[in-house]
Amino acid sequence: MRLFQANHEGYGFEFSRREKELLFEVLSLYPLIPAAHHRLSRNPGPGDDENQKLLDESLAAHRQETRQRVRDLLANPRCFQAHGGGYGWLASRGEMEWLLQVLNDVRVGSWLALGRPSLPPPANLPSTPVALMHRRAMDIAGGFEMIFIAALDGEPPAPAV
Amino acid sequence: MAARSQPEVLPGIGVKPDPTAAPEHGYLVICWDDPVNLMDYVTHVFQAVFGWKKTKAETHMLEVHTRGRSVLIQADLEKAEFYVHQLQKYQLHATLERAGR
Repeated sequence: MRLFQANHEGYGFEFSRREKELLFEVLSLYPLIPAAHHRLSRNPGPGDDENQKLLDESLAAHRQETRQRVRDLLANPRCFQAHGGGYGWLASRGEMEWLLQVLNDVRVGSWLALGRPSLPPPANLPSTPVALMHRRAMDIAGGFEMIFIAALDGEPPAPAV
Repeated sequence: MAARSQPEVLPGIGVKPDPTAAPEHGYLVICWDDPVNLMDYVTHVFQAVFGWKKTKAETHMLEVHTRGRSVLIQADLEKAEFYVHQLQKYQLHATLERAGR
C-alpha cells in the first residue's frame, strides 16, 4: 500500500487486492466499542446524569451515521478504482479523519473484547477463534491508522515500483 | 496533579488570553491513558480536535503516556462537553471534571 497523491484533491492510496480485503475486513467489524463505554465524568455530581444522557444520545447518533457510511463504502466497491497493479482510493481529509475514527473503534473495541491486555500483547496467540479475530483486527486497524496518519502528517507520495 | 500546559507568554503583553479558560470555575477536560491507543494517533487527535501545533500535542500525549492523564483545557461546561465528545468520537478516554476538585 502506498500514498501516490497528496494535494488539494485529496489523498490517493494504492492498495493491493489483499490490502483492500484487509481494510474491508476491519471496517466491516464496526462498531465494536460498547455503547455505554464512554463516560462524561469519573466523578459525576448532581445533574450529571442528564449530561451523561445527552452525551450517550449524541454518541449513538454519531455511531449510527458512521455505521451507515461504512456500509455505503463497503457496498460501493467502485470507490476503489483500478490503479497501477491494484486499487486506487481517493479520500478527502474529512474522510480520512472519519476513517481513523472507525479504525480506532475497531482497535479499541478489540482490545476491550480481549480483556484489556497489556501491550504489546503476549507472543502466544489467543486460543479461541473470536479472540484470534479480535487480536488480528486490533493489529490490522493499528497498521492502517499509522499509514493514514503519516499521510495526513505530510508524508510525501511514494513513487510507483 | 496540576498537569495543565504552560500558558503562552507574548513579549510585552503577558499571558495570552485563552478563550476556553474559566479561571476560577469551570471544567477540566482530561485525557486518560489507554495503552491501546497509538502515540501518533493520540497526537494526531489532539491536533485535529484542538488545532494545536504538533509540539504541543506531543507534550500532552507524552503526559498521558507517562503520567496516566493530561489536563487538556479548562473551559465552561458547554465547551468542555463539546471537546469531550470530540475526543470520544476518536475513541480516546476523555472525561470532564469540575475544576478545583
